Amino acid sequence: MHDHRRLAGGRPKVPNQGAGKVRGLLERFSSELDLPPDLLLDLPRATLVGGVQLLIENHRGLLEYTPGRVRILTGAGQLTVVGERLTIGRILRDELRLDGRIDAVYLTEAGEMG
Amino acid sequence: MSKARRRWIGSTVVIGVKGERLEQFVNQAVRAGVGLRRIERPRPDLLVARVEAGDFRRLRAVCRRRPWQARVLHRGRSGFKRLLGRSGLVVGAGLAALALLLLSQRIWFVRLEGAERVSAERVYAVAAESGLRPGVRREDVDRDAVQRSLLMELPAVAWAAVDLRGTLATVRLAERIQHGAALDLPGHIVAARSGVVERVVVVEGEPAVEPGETVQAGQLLVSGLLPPGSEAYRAALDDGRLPYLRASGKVYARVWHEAEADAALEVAELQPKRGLPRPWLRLRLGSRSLALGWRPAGAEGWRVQELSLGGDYGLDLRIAWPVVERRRLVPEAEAAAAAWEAALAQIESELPEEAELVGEPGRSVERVERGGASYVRVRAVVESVEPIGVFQGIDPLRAEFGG
Repeated sequence: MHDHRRLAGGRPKVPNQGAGKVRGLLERFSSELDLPPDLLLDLPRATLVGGVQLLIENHRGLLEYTPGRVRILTGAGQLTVVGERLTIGRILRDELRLDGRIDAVYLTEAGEMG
Repeated sequence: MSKARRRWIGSTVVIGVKGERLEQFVNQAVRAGVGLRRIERPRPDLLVARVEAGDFRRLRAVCRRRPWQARVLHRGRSGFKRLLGRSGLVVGAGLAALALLLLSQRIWFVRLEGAERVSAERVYAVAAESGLRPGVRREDVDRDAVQRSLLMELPAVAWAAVDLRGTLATVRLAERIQHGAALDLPGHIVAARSGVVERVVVVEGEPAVEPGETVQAGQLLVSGLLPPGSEAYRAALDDGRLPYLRASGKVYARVWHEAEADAALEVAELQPKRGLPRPWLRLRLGSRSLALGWRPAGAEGWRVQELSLGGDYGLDLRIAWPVVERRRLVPEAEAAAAAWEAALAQIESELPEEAELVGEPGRSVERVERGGASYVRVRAVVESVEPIGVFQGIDPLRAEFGG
C-alpha cells in the first residue's frame, strides 16, 4: 500500500507590499470559503507516493537536475528533492513527476533563497 | 487526435542532448509544447529522454538557440506495434473475436408471443423437439418444420410463425377462438342477472317473460321446449329426439349495477432518496446461473425494477432505487374522488358492450373506520338497459318434457 502525503506550499515573501496585501486577502478569502488555496494562490501541490514517486503540480520549471538532487521552481519558492537514482518520469507545462528513491523534500520560501 | 492517442499509435524516440545547463533545455522544450518522458542524466553534460518522434523537429529548433546538441539514440516502437509484439495477447484477442463470431451464429434466446391459453412450457418443448432451442446454430433451424410441429402438436394453435433475428428467435402464435358450447346443442335462454324486462326479441323458442316483468338471475326467459302437442313436438318424439330446440333471441332489461370502493385518508408514499441505485444481474445458463452485483436485503427502502429476457438461457436484471416512505394526509374530497373513480371503474368492467346507460350514476359517500385507519367509502349505482339472456344447454339425461 502506498503512503500518500501531501505537502502544501508555504507563504512566500513578496517584495511588493501591495501584492502582499492582495495575497493576504486571498488567503483569508480561501480560508473563509474553504476553497483550495493551491488554486486561488497559485501554490504548488506535491503528492508523495511512499518514497518512490513525487508528483508536483503547478511548477514553474526545473532549476537543477542530478540523480541525487532535483530543484524545482514553484510559486511558493524552491522545492528541493533529495534522493537516489532520481529520474523525471514526465514533465509537462504544469506537471512534473519524479521517480526514484526519495529521501527528503524541502520547500525553501522565496525570501530564504540565496 | 489527443496526445495520448498519438503517442500510442505513433512511435517514440530516445534522444540524447549534450551541453551545459541542460535544465534550461528541459524548460524550453516544455514551453515549446514538447512533453519529455523518462528523463535521465547519466553524465552532467548529457541528458537522455524519450519524446514522440513527431516532436523531435521542434526540439532541434530549441537546440538551435543554445549550444545544445540533440540526436536520436534509439527509435522505439509505438504502443500499437508493441501490442502486436505480444503474441499471447494478439492470439487471445483473435480467439475472443472468433468465439464471438461463432457464438453470434447460434440462437441463445427464444421468445414467445401470443400464447395466452397455451402453456408456454409446452410451446418451448415442442419447439425444442423440432430443433429450435437455445444453443442451436441459426442455419440449422428449419422454421417451416417448427411451425408445422407447433400446429400439429398444439390443437389450440391456429397459426404459428418463427422469426430469427441475431441470437433471438421469436415464436409468434395465434390461438383458436373457443366457443362456449356446441352450436347445435338445444337449450333455453335464462337471465344472467336480475332486472326489469324492457323488450323481448325471439328468433327461436317461446318467450317466457313480457316487458315490464321483474326477473331474477337464473330465471327462464326464452324456452327451448317445443310447444307440447304441436307437430314439431310430436315429430321430434317420433324421430327419437328430445322435443327441444336451441332457443335464440335477446331479452333487454333495465339493470342496476352497484359497486363501492374505499380510499384511505392517510397514505404512505415512496419518494426517491439520495443515493446510488443498486444493480443486480443474473445470467441463466440452463440449470446454472451466475449472479453479479448487490442484491438488496429486502424490498423495504428500495423500489425495485425488474427485467427478464430469454427462457432457460437469458438474463435477469434488477435495479433497486433507494426510496423513503413518507405518510401524507389526503383531503377528503380527493379521497372521495379516487373512491368514486374506482367504483365506476369496477362497474364499467362488469358492463356488457351493448349496455346503454340510463340517467346519471347515483352516489353516496360515508366515512368509515377500519383497522385504526380512516377511509372514505363511496357507493355508486349505475342504471343501464342491456341484454341479460345467456344460453343454457339442456342435459339430455335430465331434460323434462311432457304433454
